[in-house]
Amino acid sequence: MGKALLKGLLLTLRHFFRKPETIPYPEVKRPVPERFRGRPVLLSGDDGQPLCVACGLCERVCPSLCIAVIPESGEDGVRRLGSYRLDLSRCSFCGFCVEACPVGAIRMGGDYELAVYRKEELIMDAEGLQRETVKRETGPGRG
Amino acid sequence: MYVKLKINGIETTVPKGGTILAAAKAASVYIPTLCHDPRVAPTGACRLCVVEDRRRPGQLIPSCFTPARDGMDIVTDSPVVTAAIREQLKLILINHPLDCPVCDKAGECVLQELVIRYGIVEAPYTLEAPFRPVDRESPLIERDMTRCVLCGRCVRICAELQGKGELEFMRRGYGTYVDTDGSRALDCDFCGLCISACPVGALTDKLFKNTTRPWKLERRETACLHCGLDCRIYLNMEGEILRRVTAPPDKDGAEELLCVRGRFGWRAAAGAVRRPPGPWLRDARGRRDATWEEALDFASRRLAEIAGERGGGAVAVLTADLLTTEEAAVARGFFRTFLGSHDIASLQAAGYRRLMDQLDRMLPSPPPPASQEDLLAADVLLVLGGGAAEWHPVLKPLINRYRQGEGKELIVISSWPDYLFERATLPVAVAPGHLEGFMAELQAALEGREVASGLDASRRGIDVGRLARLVSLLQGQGEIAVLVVPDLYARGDARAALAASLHHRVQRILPLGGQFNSRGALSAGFASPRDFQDILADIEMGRIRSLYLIGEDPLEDFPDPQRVRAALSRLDLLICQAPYATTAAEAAHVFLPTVLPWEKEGSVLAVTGQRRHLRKVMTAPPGARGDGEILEELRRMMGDPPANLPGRVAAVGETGSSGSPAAPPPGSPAATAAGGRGFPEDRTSEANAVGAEAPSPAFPFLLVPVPSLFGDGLVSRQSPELAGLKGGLGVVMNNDDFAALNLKDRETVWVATPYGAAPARVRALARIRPGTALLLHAPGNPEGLSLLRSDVAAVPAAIGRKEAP
Ligand code: SF4
Ligand code: SF4
Ligand code: SF4
Ligand code: FES
Repeated sequence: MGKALLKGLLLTLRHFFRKPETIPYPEVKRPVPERFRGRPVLLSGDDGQPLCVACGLCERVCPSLCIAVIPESGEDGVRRLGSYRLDLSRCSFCGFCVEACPVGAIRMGGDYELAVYRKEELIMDAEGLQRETVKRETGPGRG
Repeated sequence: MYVKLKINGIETTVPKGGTILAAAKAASVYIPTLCHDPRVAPTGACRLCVVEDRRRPGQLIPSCFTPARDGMDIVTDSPVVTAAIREQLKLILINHPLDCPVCDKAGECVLQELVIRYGIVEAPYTLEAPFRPVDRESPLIERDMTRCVLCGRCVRICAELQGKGELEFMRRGYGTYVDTDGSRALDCDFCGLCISACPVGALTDKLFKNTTRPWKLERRETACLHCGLDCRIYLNMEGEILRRVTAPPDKDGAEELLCVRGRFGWRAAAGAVRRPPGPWLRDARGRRDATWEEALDFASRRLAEIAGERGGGAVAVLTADLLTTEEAAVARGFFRTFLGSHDIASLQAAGYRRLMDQLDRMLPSPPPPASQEDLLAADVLLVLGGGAAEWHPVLKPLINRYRQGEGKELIVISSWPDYLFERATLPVAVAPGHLEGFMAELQAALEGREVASGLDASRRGIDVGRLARLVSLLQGQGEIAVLVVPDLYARGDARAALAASLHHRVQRILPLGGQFNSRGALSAGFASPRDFQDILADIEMGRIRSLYLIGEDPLEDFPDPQRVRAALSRLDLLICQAPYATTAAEAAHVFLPTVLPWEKEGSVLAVTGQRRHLRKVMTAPPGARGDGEILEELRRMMGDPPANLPGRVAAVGETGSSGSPAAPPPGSPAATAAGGRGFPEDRTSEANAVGAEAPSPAFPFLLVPVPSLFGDGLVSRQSPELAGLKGGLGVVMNNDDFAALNLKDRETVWVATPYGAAPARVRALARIRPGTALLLHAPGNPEGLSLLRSDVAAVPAAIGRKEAP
């Protein structure tokens, strides 16, 4: 009886000095797996502007109808992004927008902490969508 | 005669001469096309429409221009055909930039659809890109020729239908591209037919550009507001936002025709213009915003007072003919039957209403409506007066279609080289001011009556040989249709009389110059034989005390604004009920904002006689109300008809029949003149134009105000795009006069007449008679209007660099 108790205590004690398996979330965050589909991210070019050319295909393909792309004419007369709006409260994280984009300007990001105090904050503009905080796990085949 | 053949095994027939493509269409078999536009002649540039005849396998036949023959056994989807189409698509893609993501055409691009349909995923060929111009400078139309597939549809539609030939193929072979001569910006009619024809995104609509995507648009059918042809249009709406206007397909699937106003003038009704937010009143305390109840109460009280005191004859109405037919009936009931007014006139449609009124009296039965098909079916088209295609610009492609028929004659009798005149098979040029006299003499001669002066051709500047041909054509066998075109401001009666005198010879008579629903208003009896000229004189004499404006603005649409302003200030009551706050709105005692026809439901009757019911296709601005609604409310508030006074009695006597006008009050100028519609002063129109107002050394030119392609009407004037194309007051003169004055193209000059002076932009035209100058865009321009006098076809003028005395 006492022997079994000691055995158990010993096991606990042994784990006590080991490196813990859990992480102190939210102080420490885990990198997400490579194919994780978090909040969509608009990619930026070297000038910091979104790569998006405002073709509107993501808006067209989105099954949740949560994207609105409003184009405008650039100084050179070429179509460019006027404003981009993504309503996260409706987004189903399906990734169709990423598949549709002809210029690779949008991809599924790593961010998963999407809780907010007010629903309105879930409606994101281009600037908000360009930011990404969570890093991805560098899996095999990724640099 | 029909040809019988098989398409993919389906038996079908086409009329002899019909193409294989037409036969396939009849059999509902798909054949890809890129360079084919059913509105213009086929050219065979793209070779995507190839098919095979089972009897001659391996031999590819371009179906869009190969006539069907008896016994053909066509197959459209054999491996040989499909391989050829795929190969051809790859060749076309060599010089196509594949910038669909930023191309406005994406989603409605023929090439894009074909590439997807045939699954072209690789681009195996590359060649050095040839030079292709990009023009982003032209107004309204953008040309990015890097996307051009050289189908030639724009080139053909511009030359064949619009008759402009603005776009042309440049260079040869691999270096071919489409451009204007000298690679300049477009300077054309801006009909946009080229945009509608281009299968790819090489020609695009600048107003629409980069605003949305075609798949987001909902098409709502309605009628164009800019003239009385009421062309069918699609409003392309993204939610409640109007993005562009396109033409719907006709019954054969070909896109219908539109003009610059219809395609690009829509910002007059959506977006660009500020519509008044609510009614206002002006009384002793000045102008103040009012509620609808206050404004209607004030208006009904004052109207009742004036009509009660002086009779309904003291109230006159001017209508811009933007009312639906139902509203016009309400208006007729209110003004004629209830108030007892006998002055119902229009400014913008004055010429049209006068022509219709005259024809109504002179013809045994009302003029039969002439549809567009009727015009195309005629053998001889007789156009009396200049400016037909300027009043109604879709007549340009329409008449060009007519001219493509065999043995078609186009006779134009005009005093200025308008669009149709320059394309007539028999143009008859009459010196300005002589048109009325000439028509009267022609009528007398055709009727075999003795003419006092004979047909004094040389005096009127007419070629005698042409005259003989004119008479022989009119007395010949062909079917004749007559277009009667009013002048902008002069009131001549001779052309209606001439048209009426031909009625036993003529199949169709089509008076032109009508506004949106002029014909509908006439059919509802919302008209009177008197026009604003008479009303103005009566206001000046104090007989008319109140003027009710429905969309119309005499300060913007009638010569001599000073005189009009003085007259308006004598009125006891000026009510302005209009969609826009124009000049008269500021002077009005009551202003009532109204909705535009797109914002209400009702029927319209085009000048060609087509009746259509229009749905409400746009939301009305919050402060505005419908015209019919306002008039019904006024009537309700006024309760009983105003006291039984002479004016009332006259009106009661005429209730029921729309044709018989109320008798003018005794002693009015109209009553003293023959037939109740003479001129206030006893002058004939010819004497007006040439006798009293001949050119003098101080004023060597004869200035003729003419209608503008870009729209003179109230609605057209609100469009920033059309106003931009007009570029203000314009004057066009003969090349030699122009050179003698040493002027530069589009330079600002001073135009002076005995009545005023105004700056205008000058252009030269070779075919104008020396000594004549055309005045464009005067309506809506107070300076321009002050140069003119009503009831004259031309005024003497001086044109020069320096400010005239
Ligand atoms: S807008 Fe009309 S006139 Fe101008 S280039 Fe195009 S088709 Fe020709
Ligand atoms: S501009 Fe358009 S319509 Fe004209 S030739 Fe090129 S592709 Fe054809
Ligand atoms: S012809 Fe008249 S109705 Fe037709 S599009 Fe032009 S302005 Fe509008
Ligand atoms: S459609 Fe027949 S050759 Fe282009």
